[in-house]
Amino acid sequence: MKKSLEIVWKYLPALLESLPTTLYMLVISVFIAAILGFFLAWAKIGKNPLLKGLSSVFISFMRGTPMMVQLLLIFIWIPLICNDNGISTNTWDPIIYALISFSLNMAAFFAEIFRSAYIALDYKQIEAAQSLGMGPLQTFRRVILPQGAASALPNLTNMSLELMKNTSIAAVIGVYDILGKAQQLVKNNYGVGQLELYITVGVIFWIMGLLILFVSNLVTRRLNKGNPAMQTKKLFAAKG
Amino acid sequence: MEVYRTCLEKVLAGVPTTLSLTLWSVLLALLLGILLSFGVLSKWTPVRMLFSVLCSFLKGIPILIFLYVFHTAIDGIMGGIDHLFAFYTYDIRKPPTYIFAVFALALSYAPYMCDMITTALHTIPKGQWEACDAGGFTAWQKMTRIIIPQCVVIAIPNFGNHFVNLLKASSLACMVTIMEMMGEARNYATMSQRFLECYIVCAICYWVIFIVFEQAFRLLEKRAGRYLQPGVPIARRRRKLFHMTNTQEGIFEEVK
Repeated sequence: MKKSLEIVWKYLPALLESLPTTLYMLVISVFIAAILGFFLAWAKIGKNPLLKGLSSVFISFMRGTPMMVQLLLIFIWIPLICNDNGISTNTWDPIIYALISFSLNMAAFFAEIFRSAYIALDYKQIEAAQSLGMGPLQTFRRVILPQGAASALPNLTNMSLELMKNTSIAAVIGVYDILGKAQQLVKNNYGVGQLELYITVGVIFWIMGLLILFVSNLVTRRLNKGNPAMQTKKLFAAKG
Repeated sequence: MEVYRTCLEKVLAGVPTTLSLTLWSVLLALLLGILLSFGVLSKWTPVRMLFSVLCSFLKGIPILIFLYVFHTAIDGIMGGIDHLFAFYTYDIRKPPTYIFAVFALALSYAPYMCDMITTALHTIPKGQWEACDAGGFTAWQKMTRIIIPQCVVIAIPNFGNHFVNLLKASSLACMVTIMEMMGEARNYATMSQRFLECYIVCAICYWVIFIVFEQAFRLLEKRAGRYLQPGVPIARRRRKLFHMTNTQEGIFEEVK
């Protein structure tokens, strides 16, 4: 037991050093995915049949295949395309492929969340906004967004937490996030203390997830200020 | 084209492993989820808090780490059991990776199952519980006759979601040397050096299986929830019953 604790204590700084990589992947992917997902949802709600079909197929594919397959596909495919077109990918960091893959995957899930938030909205409200003479942009900004954000945020948080867990898959293609770092340390030590290291990584992920939940629940509480029925009491509990 | 065909054969050879892995881990996860939900819904606050923390802990850990931890711990656990009961039959060259992968996947999905069960239980109105008590039902009768039949219908969509997610997550088991679809694809890819083709085939296979299960669960949901749908079906059902019972007695034969 004492030996295990010593191992954990010895390698904790090295693991925490690679924490920014995980957070970086998480934040950038969520940001890109939110933008992409918005357009996907817009295409799926809209009337253009071509866009609708394309976005439906894309969303279905991204939801229907494992993240690891997508990650490996992108990891193999993009260098092929780039090198055929004269762009050298030799110096690229593997984190770029992880970012692309995670953002595309999350975009599909986010699109579904945005769409369900839009559907949950009462259509009378949009009609009322139109009858007051609001344009489409104004309707979106003043009516759809404030209510949609409040109802979509718990789901978005859940999805982001899933993504945070799934960023550990990036270790497969050689990104040195926390799990990748742990694997490297294990290999350097010829497998000594790998159980302790993996458990430590798990605990780090857990604490990170709790912090994200806490922040999200604070924001949800703020967004639902005018709606007492939707108030969150437990700040560390998942919702939705 | 040759590559695609060979790769498809290889990947299809891994389908039974994927499906059995998914099925066993879903069943085990459901079992663990039921146990966890007993703890989460317990009357005693310390037990409840302990189980809530346990749920959140299990939920916060990536599946890959579960798989790695269990894979690492195989020798320790199996050797320990071997010595404890003095079997001395454990062969270290053939570790039971499959069973441990099932446990890892099940453990990582148990809190989701627990959530599913607790939310389904909370949707049953309190009046029904009280009505059961008033009707003199025992706890067992109450659960099996009133509460669980309704909970199952409510939980089916969620369960389908988790099942499909678990199906996808089982692809991670290839990292701990289990030859399911992804493992076969990776194996063949490194053998033939045709990575892109293999992964495309693998992705399409997963997609097809995903769509099949999604539609199956949608049908199941429709079938199980046919009396929950508003309007027509329930009315039709009632009329039919009324009609049947009354024609048997020979009264109201004209009524439709």
